[in-house]
Formats: sequence, structure tokens, C-alpha cells
Amino acid sequence: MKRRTFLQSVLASGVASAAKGMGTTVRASAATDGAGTHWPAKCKRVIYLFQSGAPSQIDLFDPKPGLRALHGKELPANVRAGQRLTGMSANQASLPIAASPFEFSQHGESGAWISELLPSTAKIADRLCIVRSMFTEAINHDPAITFFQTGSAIAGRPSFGSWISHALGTDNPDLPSFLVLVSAGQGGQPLYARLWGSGFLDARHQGVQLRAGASPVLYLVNPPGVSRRTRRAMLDALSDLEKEQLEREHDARIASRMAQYELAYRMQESVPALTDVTSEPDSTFELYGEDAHKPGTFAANCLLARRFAEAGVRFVQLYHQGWDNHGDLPRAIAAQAKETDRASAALILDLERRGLLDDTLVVWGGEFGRTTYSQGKITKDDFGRDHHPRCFSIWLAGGGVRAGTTYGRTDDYSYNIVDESGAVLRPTKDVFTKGAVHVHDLQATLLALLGIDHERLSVLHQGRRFRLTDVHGHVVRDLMS
Amino acid sequence: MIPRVLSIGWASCVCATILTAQAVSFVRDVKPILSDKCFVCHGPDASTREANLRLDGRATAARVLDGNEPELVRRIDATDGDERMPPPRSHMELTEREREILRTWVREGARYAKHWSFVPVPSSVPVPAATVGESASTWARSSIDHFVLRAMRDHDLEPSVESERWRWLRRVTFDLIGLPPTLGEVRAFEADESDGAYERVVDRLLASPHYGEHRAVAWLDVARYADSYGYQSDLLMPTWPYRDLVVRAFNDGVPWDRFVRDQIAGDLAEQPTRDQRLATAFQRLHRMTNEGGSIPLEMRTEYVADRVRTFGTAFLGLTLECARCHDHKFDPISQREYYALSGFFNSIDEHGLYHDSSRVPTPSLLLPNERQEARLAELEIAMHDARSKLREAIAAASARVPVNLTDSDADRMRESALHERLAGWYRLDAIDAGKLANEVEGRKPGSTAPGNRLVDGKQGKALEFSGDDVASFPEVCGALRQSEPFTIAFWYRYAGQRDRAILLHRTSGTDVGFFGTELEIDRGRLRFSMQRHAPGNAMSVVTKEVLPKGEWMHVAIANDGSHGASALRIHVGGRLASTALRDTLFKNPGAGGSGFDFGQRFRDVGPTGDAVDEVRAYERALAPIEIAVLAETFDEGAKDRAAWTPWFVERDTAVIAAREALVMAGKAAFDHRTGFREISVMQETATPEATYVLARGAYDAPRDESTLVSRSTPACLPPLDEEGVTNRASLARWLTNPDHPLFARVTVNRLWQEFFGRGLVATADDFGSQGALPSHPDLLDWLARDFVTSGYDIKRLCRQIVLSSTYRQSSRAPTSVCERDPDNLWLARYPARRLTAEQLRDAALACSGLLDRSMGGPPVSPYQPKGLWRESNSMSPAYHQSVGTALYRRSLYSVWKRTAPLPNMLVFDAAHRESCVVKRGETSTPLQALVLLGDVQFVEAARVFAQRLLEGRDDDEFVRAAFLTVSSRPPSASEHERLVRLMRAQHAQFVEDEASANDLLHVGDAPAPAPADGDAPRVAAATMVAQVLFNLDAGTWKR
Repeated sequence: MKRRTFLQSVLASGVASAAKGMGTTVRASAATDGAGTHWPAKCKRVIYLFQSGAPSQIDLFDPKPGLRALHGKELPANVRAGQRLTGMSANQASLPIAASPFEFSQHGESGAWISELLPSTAKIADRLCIVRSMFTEAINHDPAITFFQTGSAIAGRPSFGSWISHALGTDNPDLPSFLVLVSAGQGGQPLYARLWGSGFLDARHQGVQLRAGASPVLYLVNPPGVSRRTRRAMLDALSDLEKEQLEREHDARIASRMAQYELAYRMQESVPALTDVTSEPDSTFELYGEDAHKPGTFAANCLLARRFAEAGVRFVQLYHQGWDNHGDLPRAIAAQAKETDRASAALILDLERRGLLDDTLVVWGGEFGRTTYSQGKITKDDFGRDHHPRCFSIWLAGGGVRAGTTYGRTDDYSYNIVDESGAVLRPTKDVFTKGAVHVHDLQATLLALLGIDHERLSVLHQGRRFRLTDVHGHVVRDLMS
Repeated sequence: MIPRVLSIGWASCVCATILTAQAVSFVRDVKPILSDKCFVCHGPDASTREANLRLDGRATAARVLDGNEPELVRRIDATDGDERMPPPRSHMELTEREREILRTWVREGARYAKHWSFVPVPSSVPVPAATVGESASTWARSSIDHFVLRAMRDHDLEPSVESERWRWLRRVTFDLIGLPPTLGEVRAFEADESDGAYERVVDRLLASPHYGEHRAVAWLDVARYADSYGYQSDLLMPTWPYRDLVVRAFNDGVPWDRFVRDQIAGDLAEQPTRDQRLATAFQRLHRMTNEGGSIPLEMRTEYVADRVRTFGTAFLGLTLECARCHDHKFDPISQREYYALSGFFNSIDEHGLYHDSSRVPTPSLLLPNERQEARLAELEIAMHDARSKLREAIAAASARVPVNLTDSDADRMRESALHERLAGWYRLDAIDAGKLANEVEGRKPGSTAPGNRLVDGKQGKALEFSGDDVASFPEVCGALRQSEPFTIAFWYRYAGQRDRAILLHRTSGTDVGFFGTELEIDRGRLRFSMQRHAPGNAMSVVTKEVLPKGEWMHVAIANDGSHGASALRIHVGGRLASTALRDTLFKNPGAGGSGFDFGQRFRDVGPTGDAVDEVRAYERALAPIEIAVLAETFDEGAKDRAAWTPWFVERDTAVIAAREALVMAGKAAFDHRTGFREISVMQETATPEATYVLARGAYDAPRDESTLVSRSTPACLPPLDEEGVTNRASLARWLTNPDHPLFARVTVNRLWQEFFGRGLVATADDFGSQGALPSHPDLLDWLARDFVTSGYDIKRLCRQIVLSSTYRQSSRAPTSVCERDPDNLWLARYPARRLTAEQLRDAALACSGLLDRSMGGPPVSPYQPKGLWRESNSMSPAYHQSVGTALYRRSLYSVWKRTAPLPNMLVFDAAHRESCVVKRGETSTPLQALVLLGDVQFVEAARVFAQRLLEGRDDDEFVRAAFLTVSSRPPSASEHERLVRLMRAQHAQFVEDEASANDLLHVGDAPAPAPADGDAPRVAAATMVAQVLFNLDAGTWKR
């Protein structure tokens, strides 16, 4: 083959196909190249509002009015039934029951019970599917959140968003398919890149964290003194030189690399345009609240999430830290709720009025629940709650979700999951127990809504087929419309 | 994924011939199908086995393989969903080609063979002779080439032409020292036409200290080396002495078997050197947590699992971790065997959690520098002398002790027992607004939280503990340090409601680690300890007798300040009751605060129902007889001279002075030692820890007779032939036995991968059933055997590879070759690759002249965007960017924080270092472009590069020199012209916008050119050219 024809063939046939012949599988950046769906999808994208630190179900979604009478009394041993506690409260001489100081009432046609801490969420009750019977195995934050986000407590597996990106590809060639937003300045339990890492999947499926401020993506802005025009001139020169190099070296990966430079150049414009909310009408800020003007707040991030969804980003992962209320719970949880309630509800309403809620899946929740007993002493207006993996609450909304339902029940203490008759269930991840939802069950269900069979979404790595749901997980049909 | 694609690709290349020309090979053709498609249900794992059928052995599979109409064939060809294998629900399917292989195999008798990698490496491997005498045989320079050439010919391929000299020089320089060749080196080599020019380059590079730096990088990926602990708060972990040891070992050419033996069991060598013990840090580099509430046993279980996994991946190329929860699905490794192997790695006395960066988890190794070591020797001699002097003073004073005790002596003794240096006397008869009165004038009262209550006591009332409430006694006895003699005496009523409880303490820390001084009660026995990081850096004494429950007993703890467990005493009922349990405190515990707390500690178990009365705190160590006075057991009538001798002796002025001198000498030694560097290492416990099969890998699975296992190696590998108790040293000898089937193969394969991008076994981390088969099995065996017989010489192996004709080939090959062998499995061309993250940064620094070539030492903190460490982790330390030349050290020395790694490295596929990795990804993303064009590190390097090269050069000359420096070749005329054009256009623009030029020239900490030069626009334009060069394929790829 003559040089000229090689170059032409590479450029004409598209990078991917030519590169294949060169030794390394290079995928074109723009194509929707995922593994695809296994059945018709109910929704196309996900916005995951992760509440890091583990919100207290007893004070938000799982009312236990009967505990008022038992406030300060010892938790009966048969309720705990030998379950392990963390080293933070395991040594307490006393495990006194702490009733929620917050009022609950029923909302919407569905009559969902929601705490007074979440007035805006209460208003969208009929759009939610509240799950009160989530359970997990991990009891400490790091393993628990890693498990929730990657399907394994072992570091290094692909995250949920990366699996989705891998399976479904992107709808917008100018943007990463998986974006991550973390509320700024929250403190609380640490978050880390492994939670949105792509593990053994292609690095293109890695979550790209957007940061508040001038450079939403690391290294996105030109260095001081370099204008966009200068950057263009450099890229033009680079491109000319690389064409010559391509002819010299006969390696289509050179062309693929050039395509990445062009995508980076486009991202320099597309990402700031997307994160610039100045063009949003007043009505937007009326909906999300004034906080949405402040970059880095949960409200601002919810608004960005809607903009990304609109722009075709496959998976938007938000994190809001600060729910780890080991002490000072009554004050702290009220502040957390205030920071998140309005914007969470606004996001649902905004998606709905733009016609996006039908094919967007929204998830709200943390990595485990909190104990019914107080960690440390109960005083007049202060107590805390330790980690509790046996039951906790989350909510889902959007495409394919059975809206206006509350699924699952817990015992009178919000300590154990129970069945319809009130009998205590001891669910495990191995066998599906109706009424209980393991983390892998939730993952399987979310994948099912996206048109993916969690048993078939697997990747061979180190001789083993890995899945998000490991060898577990059952689709919970009752959560689906 | 790539490895899998490759092995399938290879199979598809050869399939046409398999079925026609040659018999089906079990290992090559059949086993991969059975393993991948059948073993999950019909393999080694009994727990998921269906129909009681095992297909991984001839005997157990016989019933479906034999007969006129073998069931296996019938089932794979069945169309009925119930009959068909694999069943539809498994989502597995056999291709027609796979079915044909199985049919043929069964037809030919269904012969099994041992898995290839478990077969011993032959004692000699003949080099193919077939190529000798043929025209192209002159191509082969080394044995390697003969093997490679034969494989090419088998696939109708011919070698590519030899690459230009500059290309080889560039490759070999990057591959051996991780840096680009300098302009001078390129010119010198191009000009050196003499014999041995190539060899001389290789010798020069292998002798360079940068060789060890580069070679270390891949090993540090394997060793999951990082500078932070990893989990949750992810504090910094002082590990760099290990990194420097690795660099040193590669540079010194330490034979690999010895290197590995030390990694596994250096501590168990006879009289291990410091380096041998340091090498075992390899097994302590796994992640560790300090998250509150963590359960130590759970974490220790994870750490042991990490050691086993790393051992399996690094040395055996086996995915042992698959057998942690169940029998291995594909390889013949049972869960029991997994735990039997794990038994080599769990016998260290470790806590399982860390508290902070300054308290190194034990067992650990102190790493004083020479000056510190010399000073310590002086201090230890001084301490020894002080001890002798005290002994002499005591002997002299003892001679003066009266034979008979007079009444006045007894009165004086009683008086001193009750009052001398008494700092706190809390009678605990009343609680006044939470206060506990102190009878000692001018001293602060104690206090108690409301939950503790007054009960009838030994004298008047006493204080009973709820277990969750503290009683504090501040500002007495300093902070109960080992250099602060003290006595705390009290009446104690033990309730025994809790198995173990903290009774009294002056400690800091949390449930993940308390440090300071404490008195615990554990199943009725008192334990008095001072610790910095338990259990290794601590001293304890413990009582022998179990305390009776519900009775008032007198208890006193005393520290005489002489350092060491012998300084600590527990008296019960007026009698010395303790013996030393542990005497290994070597640094100051370092607790803050003053006085002591009773009854409760943060997140610890409190002494529910226990009570104390008449608490007395002295700022000196009471003599035993004084404590007897307090305990009301002092018998005046007794004529026991030995009993009162210590009291008399300790009042002797010479003894007092000598004791004070010893306290100070000990303090000086401890203070000095506390400043030493320290690193976690392995240190075998005196008796092996019991090891159990943990059901599903869970730390809290039953541990009993039925799950107990003893140490051994998997049965599919050669036996560990040693008598008596085996340990890690036995395991290390077993592994490095010259005939071990895996060790040498895995090692040479990984090294081959470093030079060619892919191992001869593409799955360098999996030599098991699911791994790829070797593309050149004979070459792999030849290399392995040669490596062993040459004394495991890594430098020699590098030399063989880079001087081979295989390595010297051009990366350009005719399209026909690329089409026939798209994955370059047969190496008929050099496999071009992008530079690694470290190489890209180091090359930019080297070209610019910024590179600081100093070696070793604590990690440095190069440029990274502000706030990354703490923006999502408020528990993390802040990032303090280095200043001066430390910004330009080789990337090997950049701080690696596991949960927030340097983004400009990560984006180029640097390993996360959270677990053992033997092969990095090779990705291409837009973020890479953003880093090379926008990261301060690279922009500054381009600017300084431009500044340096512009001196005395016009535009033409600059472009030529810059291109040559970055890519090791001169630009073509058109490349040259294009870059000069860019430079001139940019120059014109920056002249118009000089402010921008100045902004650009101030990127980074390196000094900008003096404004007097007045040529900012030209330097800025040249910087843009340099940036283009740093982004060129010619600058970023090895071809």
C-alpha cells in the first residue's frame, strides 16, 4: 500500500476500523459503542443523588411513633439478636432507644409517610418509590460505599456509572458519558476517585469529576497567556505533523490520538457552556432555590445534573456528604435535610416539566442506615445514631419506577426487615427474599430498568467473568411499573 | 480485555490447521474451552458442581467421554434447551469451531494433560536449529531470535528490517533507564560505527543509577507501593525506605531469587541484615484502615488475604484469591489449600488498625541514620552506666539499713506512705456539683459524670461506675509517662460484669488505637501498660491471680521511672502481684493531657458495676512496704529486714541521685529513638497462629477443629519438602527452587512484557486455566531455564532482550504483515507503545533541563491542581506542594496517595497501587491531551526548554535542536517548515499581545527570563512550539 492510500484509507474508513488492523482495538470516541441492551429499556440515563454518610431512616422515611414511649429505655436484646455492632458503640454498657423527635405525616394520593424534615420531598410523594427495606453487609463507611458504588468492597472494581457507560455508550460525543459532582465543603466521610473509577473497563468509562470554579474538568482551561486561537494554531500544527507521522509510521493509533485532541478541544467549549447556568430563567432558581446560584452546593449540582441529562450524559453521580450523625443528630440531620430536600424535589419536577423524567432514573440514598439506639448518651436535645446495615431507606423516581409506592417494612424499632405479617426476615444476598432489597438486588433492578440483564452484563478479567452484581442480585419487579 | 482478545485471535489464526493437519491438543485447544464454558458447574469447586460431574480430570469425566455415543458430544450438540450444554441460563454458548474441537478430541480418545504451567521447566531447552543455514538465519543474533524466527516462519511471516540506530537508542534508553537519550548520546551513537557500539550503550545504561529507578517502577506496581494507607481518611504512610531498597537492589544486580526470598522472609534469615528485614515491608504495603468502629480481626483477615493474593499474582501468576470463598472455579486449588497457604502469612503480632502517620503499625523496623545510630549507642551506654551506678548506690545503701526497725522508723514509714509527694487524695465520700474533693491542699479536685454513683465503700462512700461515664483526676502525676515516677493506689471492688474493661488511663487516641498509660481488667486479671502502638511498641505487666468479685481489695500501680517493664508494678492487697508480659516499648507513647481518668474511655468498654474508694496519687514510686501500709497489711511486729530495705534505700541521697540520673538517661534514649524513621515489616510470632478455613472468606466464620488447617502449598504444585515447622522462609525456598514450574516463567514473562508491551503469556497475572497460553512456549521455557542457570540475573536478561534482533526490528511493517498478524503476536515487527506516565513527565523534565536527578528519600509533592486531597476528604492531610528543585524530581519519587493519586499520572494509566498490578492499561482519552497541553508541569517544562534552547539559536536552529532533543531524530523538511511557520505566527501574535507572553512565561515556579532580554514574545512563541513537540507522537511514543 502506498503511503498516500494508507493515510486516505485511515481517514476515510474511520479510525476504529483501520486501527483494528493495526494491533490495538481503538474505539472511535463518538460512537454509541456499548455492549447494548438486552430488552427494551424503560429509561436511558441515571442521576444518582448519593447521600454519603448514611441518612437516618428513622428520622426521614421510616416512622416509628411507638418508640416515643420507649425513649431512653434499653433496646431489647432479642431485637438485636446478636447482630454485630461497630467498635464505636459495641462497648457501650447501655443501648438506649432514641425515638425520632421529628413528626411524620402522610402525603399525596399514595399516602406515603415522610418526615417533617423533607417538606419538598413530601410534595412529590406520588412520584417516588420509597424502599424501606434495603440491607447491606458492610458496617463501616469505606467498605460500604465502595460496595454500593462498585458491587464489591474490594477496591478497584468498575463503578456503577462505568458499567452503564460501558453498556450503553454515550449520546453526546463532546462530553464524557459519566460525570461526577461532589457538594463542596461538606466535610464528613471521605470520598475518593475509586468510587467512580472504571476498574478493568476502558478508561473512557471512568467518571469525570466536575469541580466548582473556573476549571470544571482538571486541566480544561488553557494555561495563562494561551488563547483559544493560540491553542487552535498549536493543534493545527500538531495535526499537520501527525499526518506526516501517520504516513511515516503506518500506525492508525496516531489518527485515533489526534481525534482525542480534537475532542479535548471541543470539551473546552462544551463543558463550560454546560456548567454555566447564567442563561437559566428565573423560574429555574425559583424551583431549586437561591442556593443553585452558588457553585458547589447540592442545589447547584442538581441543576447541573438536569443540564447534563438534557445534554445526553449517560450517568450523573452526585455526592452529598455529612449524614454520618453519630452525635448531635437532631440538629445535624435537620441541616442536612435543609441542604438537600428542596433541590432533590426540584430536580424531579424540573425533569418532569421538560419531559425527561420518563426516561431518566433518579436514585436518592446512602450506604447503610442508622441505629434505633443512641450512640452515646441521650440528653434533652442531643443523641446520635451508629451505623446500621440491617435496614435503611432510599427512594427511586423516573422511567419505569413504580411511583407512589412504599416498599418493604421494618419492625417496631426500625431494626429488622419484616414481612407483611410483621415476622422478622433474615434476608441474605444469596436468596431473594420478598420484601427485602439487597444492594445487589437494587443494582439488578436499576440495570433492568435500563434494559440490561445484570447476569449478562459481564466482562472477562483475569480469567473470571465479573459483574456489577457479582454472583448475586435479583430484579425486584415490585419496584417497577 | 486485551489478553482475551489476543488469545482468541491467536486461536483463530491457527484453527484452520488444527482440525485438519494436526491432532487436537488438550492444553492448547480443549482445556481453554472446558475451563471457560464448563468448569463453573463441572470444575474444581464442589459447592457449585452440577450432576456430580467433574470435567477437569479424565477419571471423573469418563462417564461422559466414553462409549459409542459419548454424552458430552450428544449434549453439546443438543438443540433441546433442557439437554443442551452449556445450558441457555448460563448465558454461555459454544461456537461451531469449539464444538468441532471437542468432538474431535473425544473421537481421538479424550486425552488429558497436565496444565502447561504446572509442568516443570525442562532442565534444558534446545534452541531451534531449523533456522540455521537458511538465508534469513543471519538475522538471528541470539537464541531468543531463533525461537522468534521459527514462530514467524510457522505463520508465514518474515522479520521486519532493522530499525534506524536512533530508534533503537531511544527505545533502549527509555526501556532501561526511563529517560530519553540526550542529544549528545544520539550523536555519539550515530557516529560510532565500531564493533560493540550497541553493547557499549547497553553496558552504559545498565550501569546508570537511573536503571534501578526505572526498573523499580514495575515492581512497585506489583508491590502496591504507595505513600498512604488507602482506606477512608487515607493518611500518609512512611514507606519510602522500601522504595529506595528496591532501587538499590536493581542497581546492585541482586540475584532475583535472593531478592524475592528477602521480600517473603528476610526477617527469618539467619541474623538478618537491616535490608533483609526492610525487604519484608513488601508484605505490609497493603492498604490499612483507621476508620472508627472497624473491627481489628476483620481488617487483619483482609490484610492476610491481600498478602496471599499478592504472593499468588506476583510469583505464581495464579489467581489464588478466587479460592478464598470457595474452591477455585477453574484451577485445581481448593479453598482448604488457599487457607493452608494463607497460614504462612498470618503469624505476625499485628493490631489490624493504625491510628495516625506517626505511630507505625508494629511489627516494625527502626531506621536510624548513621548519626542517629551512633548517638543512640552513646545514650544506651549512658543508660547502662546509670543502671550500674544505681545498683552500686543501692548496694552501698543497703549495707546501712538497720537490722531492727525502731518505732520511729515505723512512724516515719507510715508518715511517708500517707503523705510524701502525695498529689491527690480523693476520698469519694461525696459528689458536690460533679466534683470529687481532693484532700491535698492546693491541688485540683476530681470530677465525675452524672452516671457514676456513690455506694457504700471501704471507708465511707465509694464511687461505682456505670461503664459509660468518666471520673477524671486532673493535674496529678504529670501525664503518667514512663519517665515520671508515680503511684496510684485505691480500694477496688470488682464486679466482673464485662469480660474486659478499661479501669484507669491516661491515653489519647480512639478505638482504632489508644496510646499512653492504662490499667485494664481482663477476666479478673489486671494489666498495666504503656504503649505507643499495641501490641509491638508497648510494655505491660499483668497480675497472676484472678481478683475475687464483689470484695474490696487494695490495688496500687507504680512506675519507678527506670524504663522497661521492670519499672512497672501492680500490688494487690499490699503485695507485689505482677509479672512482665511484654517489654518492647521503644518510643515514647506520646499521650497528651495530665492526670488520669477512671471508669470510661471513648468507645472502649467501661467497668460497669466496679467501684473504687480512697484513691491516692503520688508523684513518686512508693516502696512496697508503703503500699502495704495503705493496704492495711503492714505488720509492725514483723522483723523482715528485706521488706523495709527498699524504703530505707530509696531515701538515701546517693540512691536518689542515681535514680534521677537513670530516669533522665532513659528519657534521653527514648526521646532520641522516638525521632527515628520506622516502617512496618514482617516478624514471625514465636508460635504459628492457628489458621482456619473461613467459610465464604468471612472473618467471623467458625474457627474450630473442623476448619483448622496447617501450612502447606497447593497440591497441583511441587510439594514443600521440609521437616518440622515450616514458615515463610520454607515457602521462599520452595518458591525459588530452580525447578519450580512457575516462579521463573512468571518472572521472565513479566520482564518480557516490560520490553514488548505484552508477555509471551499475554495474561501476565494469570498462568492458570483461564489465562492465555504462551505464544512461544519453548522460548518462555528457554528464557526461564537460562534465567535460573545464570543465577537469576535481571541485568543479563535485559541485555539479552535489548540486543536481540527481535527487539531491534523496525516497528513499521508492510500492511500484509499487519493484516496477517494484527496483534503482533509473532513479533515480526517491534511493538510501538506510548510512553508511561512516569516516562512522559520525566522526559519533559529531562528535555527542559529541569530534571533533578538526586536519588531516594521521602516523597516529593509536584504540581497538582489545588485542593484535591481535601476537597472530598476533610480527614486527609493538606497537600503541601514542594518548592525548588524538589518539584522536578523523577516521578518515581512523587507522593502517591491511594485515594487521591496525582491526576496527571493516573490519566496515563499509572496504577492506583491499591492492590497488586502486573500490567497497566494502555488507554487513549481526551483527558491526556488536556494534561499535556494544560498541566503546569508540562507547560513550565516547555517554557524552560524554550528558554534554554533559544540561547544563541535563530528560529530555524531552535526548531531543529528542539525537535531532535524531544524525538531523537531531526525533523523532516516539511516538519521543520511547519514548526517554523507556527513559531513565526505565534511570535507575531505575542508581539501584539505581550501581556499574554509574559503571563505564559510566568507559569510554574522556575524563574522567567529577565525582562531586560525584552524577548518575551519570542520565548512565548518558542514555548508553543515546545508544547507541540511534547505532544507529538514522535515525542510521546516509543517506535
